[in-house]
Amino acid sequence: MSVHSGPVTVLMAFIDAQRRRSRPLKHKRRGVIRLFALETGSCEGCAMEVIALGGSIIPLEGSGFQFVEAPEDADWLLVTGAVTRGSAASLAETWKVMPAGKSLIAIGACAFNGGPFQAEYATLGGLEKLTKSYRTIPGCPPSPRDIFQALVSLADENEV
Amino acid sequence: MSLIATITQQSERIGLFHYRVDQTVWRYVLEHADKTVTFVALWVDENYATMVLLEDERPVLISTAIEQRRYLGPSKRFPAAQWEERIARDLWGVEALSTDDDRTAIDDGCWSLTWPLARKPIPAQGNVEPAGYSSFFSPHCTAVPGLLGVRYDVTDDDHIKALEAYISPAHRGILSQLKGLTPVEALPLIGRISAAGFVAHPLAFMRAIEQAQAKIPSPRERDTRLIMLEIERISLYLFDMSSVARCVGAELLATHCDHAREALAQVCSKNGVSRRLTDIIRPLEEGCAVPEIVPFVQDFLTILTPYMSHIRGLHRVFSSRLEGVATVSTELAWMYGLGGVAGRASGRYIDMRFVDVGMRLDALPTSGRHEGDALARNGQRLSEIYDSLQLIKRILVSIGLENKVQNTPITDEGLGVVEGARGDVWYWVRLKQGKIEQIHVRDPALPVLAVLESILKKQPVHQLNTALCSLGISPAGAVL
Repeated sequence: MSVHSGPVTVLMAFIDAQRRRSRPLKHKRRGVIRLFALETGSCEGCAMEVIALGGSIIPLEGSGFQFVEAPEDADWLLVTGAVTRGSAASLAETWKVMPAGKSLIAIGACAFNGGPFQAEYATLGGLEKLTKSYRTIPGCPPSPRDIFQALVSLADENEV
Repeated sequence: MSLIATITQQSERIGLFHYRVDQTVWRYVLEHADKTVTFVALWVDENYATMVLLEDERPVLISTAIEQRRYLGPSKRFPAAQWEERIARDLWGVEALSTDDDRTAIDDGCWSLTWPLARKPIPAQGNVEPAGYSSFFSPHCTAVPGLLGVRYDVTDDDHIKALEAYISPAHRGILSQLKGLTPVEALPLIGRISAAGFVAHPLAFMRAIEQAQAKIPSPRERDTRLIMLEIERISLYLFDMSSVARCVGAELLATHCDHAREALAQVCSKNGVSRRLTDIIRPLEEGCAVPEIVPFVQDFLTILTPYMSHIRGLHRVFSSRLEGVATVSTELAWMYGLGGVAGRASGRYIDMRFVDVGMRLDALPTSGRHEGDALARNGQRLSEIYDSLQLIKRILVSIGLENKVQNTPITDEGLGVVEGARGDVWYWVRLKQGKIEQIHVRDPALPVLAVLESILKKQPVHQLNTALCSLGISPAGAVL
């Protein structure tokens, strides 16, 4: 391996990263959809894919989406994991403080129906048992690209 | 005479490596265990407390009876047992004597039952008041993917004065669900215990089951599993390096790690296995889950190589940002029995791959670091990615290599260990009529949780996320 100085290393890595970057999707939505991710009790696989979604492999921000750090600023809540009894209060509080027009999206099988984790002394199960109004992105875990494409589809449905 | 030899001579042998001792011998072990004995795990239920110890890489399980819901807790001698003692109290209502820590670990009063795994659970006792810390870093504020929060106090200059990890919401009641299942029924659940071990957890479980049933994988199946484990290791190291890089503003390094990890996932997908290797470990009767291992691995090696030179170069460029962050001294690493990268970057070189049957020992590295900070851990991850690539190549050229395997009798009890990406994962199972009668799991996050306060005390608050990501803590595996 050739050894470069710091600036050259950074420059070459930057050029290569630009080459690999996916192009943002063109969209006609009026504003940016702000996303807040909440883990509620999973193997962490879906949460890791959501982290990857917010990284650099998916052109999320250029395509009309943006992750935010506070639920008060979010339009959509992305839930990963079967809902444990210990995380239920946090889920309810997060949902409560989100502004009107909000949407709830279950990422992966566990968030939808609990996956392999039964409703028991510690777990309530997925969102299907807790609310009627939510949308799902299937998978175990779904890939960042699957999540992204599903988000785009949901956003387009909202526009119609 | 070694301590283990003393135990084995004075006790009733009840399994391949398993001895039942009375409380006198249990106490003797805790008082006389020296540095040659490594504590691995403490498993407690209503009937027995069981310690897994290692002497010269040879595991031994010793169990003592629980009397009046009490036993002598090992955490005074082995501080790594702290969380296991606390978890046992929350799940079974069994108290460790001689322990200083009476805080709950995973029951914060939200469950529908108290002592849910006890023969007679009692109705829920209501919310438990958290200890009085001035600040709370809730799970959705930390940069780790799981439900890990931190309560802490700070000094006037924003350094951490005292701290405790908060992981109770991550508990899913997995142990209670596993009992009574056949190994085949249990595998999908075990495969989803922790994303930090989609391969490591089920493989450790299957090794325990195969030992219990005296089954031996074919050399090709054994080698395929070893390769899958290395692929998972590389993928998780890339995830951890990316998370750490992002915490210190090294976005370009994070980008290359993300792209490399995604490319690996796509190679898996293209070759007919799941992106993150979920459900790749199967019972021997179901055959290998990887249709064509040789082209798969060749694809894997080809795709990863171009990313690595950038990652290595950028790691060097950004290294100063990680110096001195969350330093684990060699003394702490040994005292708490830290494994995985966290141990090997702190002068404790323990790698359970050395005891794997069929392992190409000549291709296994033995070099660690001793600085113990976030830089050393990322440096160790980077070196071990290269080591894993060499190991995969070495296995590939001799795949299916026959070697001598010691046949063991069917005992319906098994102990399995795997060196996963975050450290050594252990499973102990006892079967009855082909179903799981008892099962215990030890995830490498447990000793890290036990030592977390000592590591983070006096760290600046703004480095908390870097520290947590750098240590690679996955609460899902620890609290089950």
